[in-house]
Amino acid sequence: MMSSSISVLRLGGVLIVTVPSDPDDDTISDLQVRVLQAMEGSPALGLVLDISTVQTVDSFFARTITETVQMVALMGGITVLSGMQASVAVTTTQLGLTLGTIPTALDIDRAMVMLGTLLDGRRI
Amino acid sequence: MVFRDLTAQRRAEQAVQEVADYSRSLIEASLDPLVTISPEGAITDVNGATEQITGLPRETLVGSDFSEYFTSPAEARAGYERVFLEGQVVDYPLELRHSDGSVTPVLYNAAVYRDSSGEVIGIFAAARDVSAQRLAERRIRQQSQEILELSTPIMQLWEGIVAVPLIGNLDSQRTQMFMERLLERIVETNSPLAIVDIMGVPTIDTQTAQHLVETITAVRLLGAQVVLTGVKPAIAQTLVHLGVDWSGITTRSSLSAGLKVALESLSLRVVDRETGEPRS
Repeated sequence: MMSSSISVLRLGGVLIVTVPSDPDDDTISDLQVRVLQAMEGSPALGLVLDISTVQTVDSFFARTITETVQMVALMGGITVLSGMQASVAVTTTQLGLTLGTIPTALDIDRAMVMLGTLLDGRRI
Repeated sequence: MVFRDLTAQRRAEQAVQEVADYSRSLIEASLDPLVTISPEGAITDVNGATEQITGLPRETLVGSDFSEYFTSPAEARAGYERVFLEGQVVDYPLELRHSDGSVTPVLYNAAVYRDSSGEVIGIFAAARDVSAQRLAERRIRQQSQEILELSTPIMQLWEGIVAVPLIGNLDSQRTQMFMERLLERIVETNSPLAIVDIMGVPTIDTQTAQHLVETITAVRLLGAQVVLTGVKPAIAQTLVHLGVDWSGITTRSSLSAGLKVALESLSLRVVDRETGEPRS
C-alpha cells in the first residue's frame, strides 16, 4: 500500500512529514489525509513538509500541497515547506506553480527555527 | 583520287580545343577543390585545388577510390550514393584528409552529369573549405560561453548571504543560467539570503522583468529570500510602468542598503568596536 510509505513524525508540537521522492497523485492525496488525521489526533501547532527528495513537481502536487497547507491552517497549524531542490524550483517556477505564500525553508533545521519565530511565544 | 579540303575540319577542331582549354583553365583557376567521380567510385579528374588540399599529385588521385581521402569514408560513400538517388547533394559536411595528416572541414556540393543520351556517367563534386568559418564559429561560441560565465559571479558575502552583481542585458538564456547557478549556490552554501544587484543592467524590458520575478519566486520556493538592489531611477520607472507585480519582493537602491536588510533578517548587526553602538 502507498500509505505505508508516508510517515508522520511528531516532535514536540510539530509534525514532520517527508514527501516520497517520486509521488504519484494517490500518494499525495493520501499524504493530505494522513496529515489531517494526525492534526485531528492531537493538534499540532506546526507542520514541516520536507520535499528534499522530490524530483518532479506537477500541478496536482502543487495544488494538493497548497490545499493541505490551507486545511492545516484551518485546524490551527502553520506549515513550512522545506528543502526544495534547485532544479525542482526552476521547473516549478517555469510551470507557473508558485505555491502561493507558503513559508519555505532551506532545510528541516531552518524550518524548525522559522516555525519558532512564526509561532512566537506559543510553546512548541 | 578524291581531294577534300580539310581547312574547315581543322578550324572546327581548333575551336573545340580552344573551348576545352578555356573550360580547363576555369576549372584549374577555381579555389574550390573540384573532382569528377565515376559511377564505380573512382576519381576521373581533379583540379589544382584538389591536389593542394589532399597534398597528392593528380596522377595519384586519378583512378583511386575517392572515399579514402576523407576522415570518414563511410560518410563520404553515403553522400556519394545520395547524389545518385537524388541527383544532387547540397552542403554535405565532410572532412578531407591531407597527406601530412591535417584535416580540412569542407561542405560538398555534388551533382550527377550525363552523356548526350542522358545516361549518368559520373558525379561532379565541388568542395568548399570551411575551416576559417568553423574556427570563427567556435571562437564565437567560446566567447559567448565565457561572457555567460563571466557575467554572473555568485559570491558568498557573509555566512548565509550570497550576492550576485548582474551586468549587461539579460536575455532568456542568460537569465536561465543565472537562475540555475544562483539556486545551486544557495543550496550549496545553505544561504537563506541572496542579494541580486542590478546596478549593471542598463535596460529592462517586460521579458527580463518577468525572468527576474521568476528567479525571485524560485529562490523563495527553496526557502531563501532575494533582496534586489541597485535599482536606478530609470529602472524603477520602467519596472513600475511595465506593470510587473513587485509586491512581496524586497528592493533597495544600493548594495549596502541591501546588505543591511540581509544582516537584519539574520539578526545580525554591525556595531562600533569602541562604543558598542550600532553602525549603519
